[in-house]
Amino acid sequence: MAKCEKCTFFFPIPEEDMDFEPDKGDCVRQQEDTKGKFWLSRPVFRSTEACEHLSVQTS
Amino acid sequence: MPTVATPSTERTARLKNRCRFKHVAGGEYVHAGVKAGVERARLITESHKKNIGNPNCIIRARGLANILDNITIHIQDDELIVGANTEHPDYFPMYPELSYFATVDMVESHYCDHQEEMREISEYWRPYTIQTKAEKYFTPEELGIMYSATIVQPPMFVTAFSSIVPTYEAVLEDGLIKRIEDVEQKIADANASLRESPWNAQDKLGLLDKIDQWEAMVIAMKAVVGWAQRHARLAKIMAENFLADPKRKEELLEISDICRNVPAYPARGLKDAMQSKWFTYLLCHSVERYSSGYGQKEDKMLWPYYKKSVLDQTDQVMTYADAVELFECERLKVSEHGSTKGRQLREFFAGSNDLFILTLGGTNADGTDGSNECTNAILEAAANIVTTEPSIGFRWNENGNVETKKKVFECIKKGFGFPSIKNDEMNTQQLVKYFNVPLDVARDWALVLCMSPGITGRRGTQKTRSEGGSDVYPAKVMEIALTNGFDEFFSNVQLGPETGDGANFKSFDEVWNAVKAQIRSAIELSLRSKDVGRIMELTHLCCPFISAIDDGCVEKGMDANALAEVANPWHNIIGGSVVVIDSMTAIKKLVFEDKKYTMAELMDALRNNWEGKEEMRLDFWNAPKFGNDDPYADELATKYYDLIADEWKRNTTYSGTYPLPLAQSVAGYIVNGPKTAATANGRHAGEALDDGGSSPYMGCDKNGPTAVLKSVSKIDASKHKGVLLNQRLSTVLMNSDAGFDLWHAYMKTWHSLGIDHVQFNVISQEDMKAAQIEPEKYTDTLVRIAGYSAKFIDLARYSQDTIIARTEQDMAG
Amino acid sequence: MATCTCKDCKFVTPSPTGDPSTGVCLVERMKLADSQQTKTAIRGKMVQKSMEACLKFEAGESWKDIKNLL
Repeated sequence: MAKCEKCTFFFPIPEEDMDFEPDKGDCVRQQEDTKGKFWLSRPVFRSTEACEHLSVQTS
Repeated sequence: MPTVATPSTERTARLKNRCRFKHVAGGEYVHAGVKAGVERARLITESHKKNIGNPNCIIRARGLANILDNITIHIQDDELIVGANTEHPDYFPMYPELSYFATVDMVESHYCDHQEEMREISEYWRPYTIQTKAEKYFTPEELGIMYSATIVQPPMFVTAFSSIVPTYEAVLEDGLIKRIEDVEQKIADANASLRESPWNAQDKLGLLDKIDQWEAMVIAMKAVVGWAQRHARLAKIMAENFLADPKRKEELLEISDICRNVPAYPARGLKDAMQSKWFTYLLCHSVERYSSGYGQKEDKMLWPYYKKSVLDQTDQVMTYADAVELFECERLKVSEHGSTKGRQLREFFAGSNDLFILTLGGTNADGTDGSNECTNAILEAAANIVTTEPSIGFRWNENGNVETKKKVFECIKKGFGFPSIKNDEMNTQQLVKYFNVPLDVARDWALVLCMSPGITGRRGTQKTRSEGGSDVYPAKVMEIALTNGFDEFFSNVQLGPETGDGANFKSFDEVWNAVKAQIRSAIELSLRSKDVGRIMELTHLCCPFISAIDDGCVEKGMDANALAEVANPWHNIIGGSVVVIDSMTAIKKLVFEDKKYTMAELMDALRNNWEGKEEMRLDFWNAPKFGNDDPYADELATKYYDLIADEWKRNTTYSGTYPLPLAQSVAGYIVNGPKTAATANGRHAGEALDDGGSSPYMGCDKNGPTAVLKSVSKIDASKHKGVLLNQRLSTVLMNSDAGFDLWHAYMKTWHSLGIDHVQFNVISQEDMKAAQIEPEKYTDTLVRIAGYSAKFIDLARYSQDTIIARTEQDMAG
Repeated sequence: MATCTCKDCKFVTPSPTGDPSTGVCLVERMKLADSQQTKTAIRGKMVQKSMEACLKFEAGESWKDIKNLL
């Protein structure tokens, strides 16, 4: 199964931040509904099983 | 003509257009799409299971940290102020640790999409909720009385309703990093003290609880800094990965910088201050626990930052227009904030989101005019954007500048119903006289909720509604005073002591004494439930973040629920005071003086809702009424308000003093109408009650606005925390060239008569009736209910009719 | 056919506390006399949701029509 670390929406947390943990990152996704666009961020780990929004990095 | 918003920028026009309003009507959210978020409940439950067995403050701190570390955060397009309390902009959060009933009510509603999971969560919490913990101290009969919401508001441990004035200044001035260092030093000092020789248990053992409290504060503050950093990262990631517009990218990078700086460090300018204030608001009112309100002296609090950014142009430089835009953004952010009131409170705030009320004007700590250019910018933003929230309370001081008073007038003239106006000198003096607040501190007061002043600043502010708040419902109290304490009309419950059947009363004194006995019983039950709730809060519902930002709590190592550094007890008497006064007046005159009817005849008529007794009803309807400068009715009113104050004064609450009553109504005058039988003022069963704390009954004030003011001025308002007066003014006059001068003269009369409060509706009968027919043309039409404003079209017809029914006063008359 | 209860009636709103066993019935309406400034009175009644429904029963959920109820 693909993991979050392969996803373009995975952004590692900088070491100096309060919620830093090794391999932890922000999963950031854009959403849009009738009221407009917004961006969501939730914590995931590199090893977290990827969700249906997985977007694999090409490079 | 309908009022139309004129947002000052294209951004705020877009934000207004797409605002995700979360108003309620009849206890239900008006807009489709509003949902119950599950993440907060899920995360606090997960943490509770792991930490059970630890001191409550540590459990609560780790619960908060688990939420802040893991909840989905979001930023919407165009936003300048970021952060929310749930995982999605259409959601409101749930609080399974508070009230079991309130949680179940929400879980079983159509707002909850995760019913199976939430049922499990609510059952898990059931034994730990403050509802379960508190109920054991009351008999089933007492719970039945309180939960019927007839003579008293159900207690906070079942409604889950609270209110708070956060100590914003401590966050804006210090930043959390410095406060973390200070608290860590206290822990180190305490540990060193515990090891001093010789050992003295009496001196030292108290440190153990303090160490727990301080450790909890550190956990909470670190989590908050991390949560702000999550927003900083999101804004930067959006700028660098998702957006092409260079202007928006630049804005997002600035937002990222701001969220890195605050609330971790002191605010540098107005942008930092607004963001830091918003984060603090979310945490204190919505994330750590739910509390209503938007209590703050905003112009005073923001003035140093406004001055830096707008006037001195030394940091986060901006123009006056930029500041207005930022305040418009704040209003929209508040408008789409999802609050999670229990059902009774949702019903009581018909047409609104929550009681978001900020305070402006008054004086500075040194007694000089407290209104400044920041005050004007806030008022201008309100006039432009046209939202019901946040409402504004304006402290009317004789020495306040006329320019600001003109801005106040502009908002009122547009029909917003706010600013509502409080007598500044009277309310400042009351804090000094009754609550021993030093004058310079008292001068910084703000409204805690609709109209109850409390101090602001770095310490000693109100932290919970078990300090001030909750209700007694006087019209129902009078009803049962005539029916031996038994509710024959609505609940079939013995609600109060057996004070006899009104049919057998032989003197007016017997009527009066029965009412007094019922009021006493209701007050004592209500106050006891608040103070029991307070103990449950400080034992089971510690608030480490709220404590961490209060200098007093940090100094003493105490939870904010426990520390009552500045007592501020008050208690509402909601909707119905004037029904009681008018009813007593009619009984006194028609039964005991004119002897036209007997009490037996009256009780028969009331029990049968005046059926077949229309002539008799009209006699009672046409008896002297409060609000006409009629000494006969006004004398009884004075006696009634004194009785209320004296009855509360008999009691001592948690914080060591007696509460002051506060006569007002919110939408309780609507909701409690159907629970109240026919009354001796000629009112039918199920008809709405009076719409304020001293507002004449609908249609009963016939002698013009000055007569109303004179009647109200006979109440000794200094004995009350507030006495709400609604007035409806002519749109034609208010919009005429002489509008401001007429209104200003009216306000000077109001002030000179020593009246506590006034708020206005300025909307024509024709517009309201037209809005009922074509609501889509009146989307920005606001009206004042009582203590808050609402979109007229969001109200149910029954509620709309009570606004139309108010007497339109002609100030020129 | 099962007996209808107040629980399933569109005129019964939830209890103010959220207590799942009780509700508030708002079905009784009265047109007011011309002397009054408002037009309608509503006679509320606290009910047990398990009670057998009265003759005015209509199946439904109160929240769907709340603006016509209160």
